[in-house]
Amino acid sequence: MKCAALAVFSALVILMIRRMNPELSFALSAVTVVVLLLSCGGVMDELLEALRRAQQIFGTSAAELLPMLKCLGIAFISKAGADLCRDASQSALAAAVETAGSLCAAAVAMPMILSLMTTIGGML
Amino acid sequence: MKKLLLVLLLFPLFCIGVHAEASADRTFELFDPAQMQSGLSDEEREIGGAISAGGYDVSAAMKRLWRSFAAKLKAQLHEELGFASKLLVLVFLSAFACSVCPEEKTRGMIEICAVCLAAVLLTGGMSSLVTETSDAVFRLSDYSRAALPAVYTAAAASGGVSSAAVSYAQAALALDVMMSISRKAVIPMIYATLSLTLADVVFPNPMLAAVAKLTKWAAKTALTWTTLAFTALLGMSSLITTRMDAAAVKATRTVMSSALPVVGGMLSEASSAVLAAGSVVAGCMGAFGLIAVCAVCAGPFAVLSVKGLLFKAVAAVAESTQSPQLQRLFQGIDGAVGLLMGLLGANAVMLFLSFAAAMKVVA
Repeated sequence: MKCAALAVFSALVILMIRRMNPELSFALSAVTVVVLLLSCGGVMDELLEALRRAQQIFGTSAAELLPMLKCLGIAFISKAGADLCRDASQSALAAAVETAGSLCAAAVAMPMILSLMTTIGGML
Repeated sequence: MKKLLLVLLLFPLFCIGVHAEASADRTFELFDPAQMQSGLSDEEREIGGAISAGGYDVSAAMKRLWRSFAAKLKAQLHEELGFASKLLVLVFLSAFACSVCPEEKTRGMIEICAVCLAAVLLTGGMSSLVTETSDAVFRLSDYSRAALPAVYTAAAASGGVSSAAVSYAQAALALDVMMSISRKAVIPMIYATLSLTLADVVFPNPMLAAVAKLTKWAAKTALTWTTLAFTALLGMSSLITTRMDAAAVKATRTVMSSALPVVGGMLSEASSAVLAAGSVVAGCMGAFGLIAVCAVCAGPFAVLSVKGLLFKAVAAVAESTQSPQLQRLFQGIDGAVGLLMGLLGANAVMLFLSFAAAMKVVA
């Protein structure tokens, strides 16, 4: 509720100041995005705590689940960055951010893929 | 007259007894049933129990076998539930991450991470499962080399000379062929199916999927046709040789009773008792052999059954959470488990049929 209210209020202010000062409106938009993402930190802590408890109950290790969580984090950050760039009418920058995000996610997944290929090679 | 009286008085001294009541014990000692227990572990010997001249308690052995199988099943279930819950956590986490992930490409990466992790977790267990199953198959082969000669020798002693010889030759040949096919073709095909399935799930490719399906089909067909061919061969040959043996036994008894005027009939009856004793011993040994084969297969079957069931359950959960790659992975692994069960089952069935053929010779 708080996040929605803050986002709507910021959008209104940005609309009002865009004609007068587009740079300031962009900066306000970026700051609002950062504040909203940081405000989700409390919820993320609870989710991570639940995940840690699930790990303890079922005997999974953090190293096994970390790549997926990293990919998720990369997706959120690259999506937010790309959309901010599109709001500033910079489609090329947005595409570059998305590509960088995909490459980072692939880099995070690569050790797992290599480990699997080693296992398959061992079987053959 | 005096000479006649003397001959009549001395006549009982020249009579010999025709004994058959101790023939079961003598036959039992001759065929060394301890051979039936060679190659078995202590637990398997305990399940099989003891064979004696008095007979073999099949119902008690079946009860011990069932109790052992149920205990192994329960232990395996406890062990595997932890692993299955790990896989379920992975499935749910992957589904949750994909549902909140805003980007399509990153969603794909998350799925690949989940699939790779699941595959790495599963593959170690599958390798040891294939090794355990192939060890059980080799143990069945070793057991057949020790036990089949003993059973068929006893079967031959019960009158089925031709049947026993022909059936033993066929059983030994078929089991050797099955062992070669298992070791050189089926086990490598199972590894190939696993590898191709894993590769197809991570890097979806219709060619990989088609080759994995073909390999699985080839392994299944090889096992099925070998077992069917062996069954048909054994059945057809026993039809002819059983009648030949029955005719031979009847002819021998007729000759014995007609050639010797007074004692021929008694000798003929005594020979029936000897043959019957041989048939009792061979029947006991055959029944023990069947129980021993079940005891050898009980452990691996319990492991394979539990793993197959759990993989099916996890695949169903993956399907409900809209994780198609994970679902295909678990279904592929379940298919490989099915092939392993087929491999062990085919070898066990051929050994069953071999023991049953020996007992049929007796009947």
